[in-house]
Amino acid sequence: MGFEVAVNALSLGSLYALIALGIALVFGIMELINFAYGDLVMVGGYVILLTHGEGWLFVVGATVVAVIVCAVLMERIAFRPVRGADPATLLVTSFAVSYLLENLARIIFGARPKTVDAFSMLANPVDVGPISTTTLDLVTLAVTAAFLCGLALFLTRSTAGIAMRGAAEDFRTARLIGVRANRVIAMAFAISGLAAAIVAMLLLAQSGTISPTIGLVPALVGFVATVIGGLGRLYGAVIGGYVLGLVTILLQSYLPLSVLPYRDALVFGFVIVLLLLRPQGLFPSRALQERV
Amino acid sequence: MLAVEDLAVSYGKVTAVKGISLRVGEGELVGLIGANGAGKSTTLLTLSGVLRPDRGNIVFDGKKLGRRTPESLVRDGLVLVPEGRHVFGRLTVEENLRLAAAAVRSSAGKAEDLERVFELFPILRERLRGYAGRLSGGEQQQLALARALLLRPKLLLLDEPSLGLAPLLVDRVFDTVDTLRADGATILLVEQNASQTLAIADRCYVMQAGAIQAEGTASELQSSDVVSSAYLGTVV
Repeated sequence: MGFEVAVNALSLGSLYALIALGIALVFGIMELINFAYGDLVMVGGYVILLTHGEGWLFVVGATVVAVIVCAVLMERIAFRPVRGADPATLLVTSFAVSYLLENLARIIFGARPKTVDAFSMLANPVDVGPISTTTLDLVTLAVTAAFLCGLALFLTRSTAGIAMRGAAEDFRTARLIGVRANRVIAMAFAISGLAAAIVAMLLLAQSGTISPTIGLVPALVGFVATVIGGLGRLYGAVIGGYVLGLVTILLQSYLPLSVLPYRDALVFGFVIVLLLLRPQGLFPSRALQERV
Repeated sequence: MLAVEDLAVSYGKVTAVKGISLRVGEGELVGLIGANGAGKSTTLLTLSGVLRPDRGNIVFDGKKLGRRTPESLVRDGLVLVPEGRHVFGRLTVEENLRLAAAAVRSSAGKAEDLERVFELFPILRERLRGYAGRLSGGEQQQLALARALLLRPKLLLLDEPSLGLAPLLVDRVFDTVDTLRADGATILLVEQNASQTLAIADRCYVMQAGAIQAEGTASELQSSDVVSSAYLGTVV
């Protein structure tokens, strides 16, 4: 039992960490909390719906490309004109983009959930030594680990990645030593889009349904995980995601059946207590403290 | 190299720079001195494209500057070292330098650039793998200057490089600026430290309340009544 709980917690935590990273990457650079991030996940879901008759490799490729393009367009069309505006304006803009995309999906695909069995082969149970789990859990762990390693390498080894870290720390100074603002922000959105595409595939593999509101919960969870970790730090967002996943699974596994329906209330109650104790999150960003 | 005419800049309703004109010739070291709040930093931030002017002309390297971004101006050789150093503390010294070098398009001579920077600031070579946030104030100032030099500036704008440093380090900063000038760099140096700026600059402008009050060489300015009453009286 203990092993299964651990695998479940790691798997859900991985999903949450991916979601939180997508939000934290963009926030770090332009102080935008992008609630429309959830709608990128939604877009990915509908791409899977449209392509799921093809081979799985094609579905993966199409989803990744489409969501990255959508993320970059989102930045170009909606957020570039308001860049540098105060965070409240940016936040409201992201709500507007979110509602627009959600209702576009409603018009095109209808409001009712649709069934997709694109990745049903992942639902198979497998035994790894004494642990019985599913292929999906293992794939989730592997994909997240690969994404985190790839991101870490990119951010520490490539000039573009170093430019992103520099821009996240001090955007104006980065521009004053020649870092191209448009390029580095587009890059952040593109990586955020890649994360959203992966999340979309993992979510659909798990639930098998897609609806226009599928992005709401991921956006909320990602935001909460980022805040727990301390806004502005990428590793904070990752750890925040894992903490949230762990708490959720622990409650799921050990709560008495009569209390189980209130799991989410307890999860967010835990978040409130955590933030009362550490208002700046687990790993507060120095830059953010200075601004406050 | 640089000609500024009737430049005015405001923050909302507050006018910080009220129509100033100044020139920096090729190979010149020009000082822009004045008390805190005179509008010196605002001038530099406008020249480097961070702030938008209300009016005025800026001609740099023979070209009139319109609405240019800081990053494109940097690539044309107009390089600002902002006040307060602003090194990336969460990046290593090496990464700080690498970012600056990446903005230079031609790869030819980059190794020599780095060698020259290490000759000027040997401490950076020793601290290469350390985080820039761990450097002392003086070392951070050296890193900020090193980064600027790697950008191959045609015109170097220095904003209060001696601010917040111990007296011994202040002397070193002025020595470095003097060395750069001797090597042929063109520099516009903004300082509150008037006496040391006058000592090394070819010419100086004195700024007060958003306007230029006086202009001249060190000896001209020191004998001028306007200047001493405006600002210099207590310093020189």
